[in-house]
Amino acid sequence: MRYSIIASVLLAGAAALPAQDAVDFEKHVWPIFERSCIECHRAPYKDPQGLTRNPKGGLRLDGKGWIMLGSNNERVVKPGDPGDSLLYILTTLDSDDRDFMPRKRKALTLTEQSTLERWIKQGADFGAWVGTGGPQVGAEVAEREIVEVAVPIILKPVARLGEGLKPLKSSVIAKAAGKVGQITPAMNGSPLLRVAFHANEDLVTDKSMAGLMAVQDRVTHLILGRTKITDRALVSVARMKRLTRLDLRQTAVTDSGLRALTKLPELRSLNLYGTAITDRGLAHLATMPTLERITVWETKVTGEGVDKLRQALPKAKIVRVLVLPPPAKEGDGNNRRRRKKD
Amino acid sequence: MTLREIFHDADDVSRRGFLSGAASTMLGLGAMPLLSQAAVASPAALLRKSPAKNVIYLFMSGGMTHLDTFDVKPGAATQGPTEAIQTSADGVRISSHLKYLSRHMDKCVVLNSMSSTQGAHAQGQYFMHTSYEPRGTIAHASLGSWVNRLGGRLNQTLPGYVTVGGGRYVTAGWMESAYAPLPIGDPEDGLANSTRADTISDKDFHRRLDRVAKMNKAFSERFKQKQVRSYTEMYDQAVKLMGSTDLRAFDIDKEPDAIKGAYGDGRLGRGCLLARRLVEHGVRFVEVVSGGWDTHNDNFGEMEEKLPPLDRALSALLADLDARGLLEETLVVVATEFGRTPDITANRGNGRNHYPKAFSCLLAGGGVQGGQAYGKTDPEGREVIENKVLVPDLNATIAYALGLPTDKVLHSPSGRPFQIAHKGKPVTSIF
Repeated sequence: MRYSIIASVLLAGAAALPAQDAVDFEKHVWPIFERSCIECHRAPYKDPQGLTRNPKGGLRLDGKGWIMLGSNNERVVKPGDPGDSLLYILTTLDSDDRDFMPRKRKALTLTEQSTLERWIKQGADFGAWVGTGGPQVGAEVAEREIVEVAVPIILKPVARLGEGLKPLKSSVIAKAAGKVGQITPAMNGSPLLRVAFHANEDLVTDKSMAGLMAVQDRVTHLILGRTKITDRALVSVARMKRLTRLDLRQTAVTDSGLRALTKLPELRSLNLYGTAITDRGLAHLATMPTLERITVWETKVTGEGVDKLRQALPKAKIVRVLVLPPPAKEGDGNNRRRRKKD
Repeated sequence: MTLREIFHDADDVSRRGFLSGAASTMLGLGAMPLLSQAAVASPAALLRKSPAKNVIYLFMSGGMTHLDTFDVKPGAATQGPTEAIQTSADGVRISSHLKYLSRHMDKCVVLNSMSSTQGAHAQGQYFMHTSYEPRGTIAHASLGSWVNRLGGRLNQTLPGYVTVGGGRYVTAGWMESAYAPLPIGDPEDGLANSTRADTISDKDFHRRLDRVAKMNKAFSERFKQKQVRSYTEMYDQAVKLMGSTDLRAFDIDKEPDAIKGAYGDGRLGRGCLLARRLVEHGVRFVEVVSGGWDTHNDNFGEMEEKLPPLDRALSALLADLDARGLLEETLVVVATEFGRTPDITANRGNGRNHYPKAFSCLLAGGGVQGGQAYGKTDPEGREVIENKVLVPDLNATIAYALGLPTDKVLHSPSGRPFQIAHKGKPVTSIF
């Protein structure tokens, strides 16, 4: 950005080339390359000692194809965008910068810099000039650019739920988060929110929910794991109509608290790991067809309880047990001394 | 993170965008909203269901052989004595030394079409971590630094980026030191030197801190720069951490013996256990490094040694994260700098040499559709013949899983543009 400001200020004084005119590569840009760049950035050649000199950084500027190919795997000209073109960026750095180019010659004059900038901005057109030619710019490069545009925007539940909503004012969000909460968008560009309390779990109680009510219709992920909340907080949580993920792991919630959650129309993931939930509590969830994932490890839920819920929610994944590898034994690979080579 | 801090974090362009955005009430809290604007405007913006929040990145340093782990070729001349077993994923076979992991393959996507351009360790590891090839003129930032820079920290007290057991090429590069990883040498030791020494009273400690602040005042007022602020912030963060109850996240002794035993008592197992504890406490990016995969000699004997600890640690990690309900939000990555030659070098005791052309990595959790292998090599594991995934593509895929914008350009202090995964394209079909 700052380069373009400098360049445009100075442009007024650059009489050699009127500001509106199209830059002609051969007439205006090539002489700059010839004077300042070509000594290092040209085809490999034998120096007087008979050693082969390769172009520095793998970059050749003596042909159209070479220029567009760029340096070792790196593009140096992005047509239309001087700010993302290394050719322009490196030649407009401060001359004491270690990346500065040209390294062996005097810096480009400000007029030359602005000519280069405008040439790139106007689309890096070479006109009829091809110089020594060079490769057709990689088929692979071209193909990848197309893929970038063609990737569809996949609108899944969080995106759908957020449709038509405008993002909230930052002051509203800051107030809702209070001193202990963290509120971020559920994903890039979504007006829906993720609320978490990492690092402050011990300070979060049922009262902490009050602040969140101002954004209740925006919360789609609520991470309350390891906080000090109880069933009373779940009454507030039940008002969050766009809630898809609720993490209550290692909290004091009980069976009766879960009943309130049945009002949540979009809940997909519920984490109850390390709570005192029993089969009775789990039974409340049977009326929630949106549930895709329920975690009840280290609760009082039994295998029968899970089986029953599975009949009501055949598609949901319910995790109750943790199957770990058996404890490592001698000879299982750990801490074993390296085998002697025979 | 306060609004004020976010304001400072933003680079110049975003800062301007922030001001105008705030005026039109477009923005919320956290670092993400700054970027969300750009993402909405961009036609290439990629949106997906419930992005992951954390990454556990297991790095097999030295070059993990693909033919003897996740890209087995039973019957091929290049296979050697390695045997394949069926897994819980239909049609996905892995090495018989990964017997516990075979039951978790329904949670995993194997990438059998990885390809790198770097065949030496230093360059290969640098490339894997930064998506850029090493250059003399710039130090690139590694993935964990990018993730924290673009996504913000989850836990404001703990560091957002922790490495366990090494990682020489893992640095914040040109980014401020606030984005550098916190290195843990031995996972058993936890976070060394994180408590106040007994010989210094609390009063003395704070008197000293006040003195430092006073001495720094004039300087930091005169040089209001990101780099200067970053040093002060590092001090503040350290002091905050010293008084935090979250320090317990670093203490794996708090784990029951059954869990510790399941992860295994090697460095990798202990590192994975520590990583799980850190992710539970909201650390965004944890890298665990396992060394010794450079099997030029006796590749098959080495695999008998190396694979069981990986099998155990990774299986325990996936099961444990799943049972805690954390696997949906945690992307587990198994990566390495390159594969190993399909040809077995008889003259060097049945070894395999460096082979960047084709290798395997693995993704699990974090919203991936487990139970599949993506990409293919030919019947001898020599060439990628389907869905090639270049190194920057893998990192773009990780960024995509986290809902971070792969097209966002940040500029180094010298004004050069960089992206989280260079020009990598995410593999979106595995989500």
